[in-house]
Amino acid sequence: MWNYEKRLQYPINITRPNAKIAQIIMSQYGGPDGEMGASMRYLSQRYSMPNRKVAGVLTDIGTEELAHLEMVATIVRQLTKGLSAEELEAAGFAPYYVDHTAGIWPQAAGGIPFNACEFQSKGDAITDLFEDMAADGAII
Amino acid sequence: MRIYNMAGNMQRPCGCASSEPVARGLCPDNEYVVGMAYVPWQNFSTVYEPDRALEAGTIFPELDKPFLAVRGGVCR
Amino acid sequence: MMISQMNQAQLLHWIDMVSFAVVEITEYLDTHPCDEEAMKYFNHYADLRRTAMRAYAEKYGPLTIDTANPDNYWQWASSPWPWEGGNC
Repeated sequence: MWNYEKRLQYPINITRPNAKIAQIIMSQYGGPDGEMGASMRYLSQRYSMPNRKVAGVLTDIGTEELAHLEMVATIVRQLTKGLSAEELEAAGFAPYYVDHTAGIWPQAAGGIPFNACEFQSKGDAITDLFEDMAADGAII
Repeated sequence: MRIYNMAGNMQRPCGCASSEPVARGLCPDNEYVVGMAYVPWQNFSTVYEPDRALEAGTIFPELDKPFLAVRGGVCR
Repeated sequence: MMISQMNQAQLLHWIDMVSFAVVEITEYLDTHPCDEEAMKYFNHYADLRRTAMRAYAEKYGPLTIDTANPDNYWQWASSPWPWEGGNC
């Protein structure tokens, strides 16, 4: 199970909204190398991980990725908060706005919805760890 | 250098000749098969102070890598 | 500075720092369960975090359910959430 901690892992206080940047940052939420894929990758792979140490580190890193997910959502939220429909449209945000208004929805910057195909879980320790190393290199 | 294998065992230092670049930290025979990737074993040594660690995103200086924002093998 | 002298922002920054140290060393210890130096580091920062979390809950409201101690008002869900600028 999980417990919530009512703070961000790193503080975020954006004072100047910018929908153009929001659309790019959104990819780190629900894009191919985003935090949603990262957290689900680690948290899904751990069930079939035979090595105790790796099962442990997958649990704790997967949990930390959820904190990153929350930070990215917070950035997108603060970057779009208070903007009018006209301002959002002028920033190229209309295709997102028409479906989600100012809601946070996991998609890549190009509009492709989050998809579990962004990560693998093969039930094989070596295969899954290779995927993790490749993914972590993409995300930093 | 200690190398961690995927079976979860710490492997003994292999004592390969360190003058050979290809052998540095890796045993060519037995323990390390071809076609696999390996990462060096991390040890606990110097760590950042908590304020610097929070800014760097890691307490470990050896994991504090620069973000170069360059992909696809492009060198400048 | 002692945590009793910190204002809300300073105390929260302190919590962010010591909590990050705990997260980092936790993940290290997962794969290095016999590393005594790392365990000393863990114990040091885990203790600082526990103390700071209790102090924050007492003065500004709980950051975790485990440090909530409601008296006449349930603060947990009524104070701003982190994305709204609360505890940030």
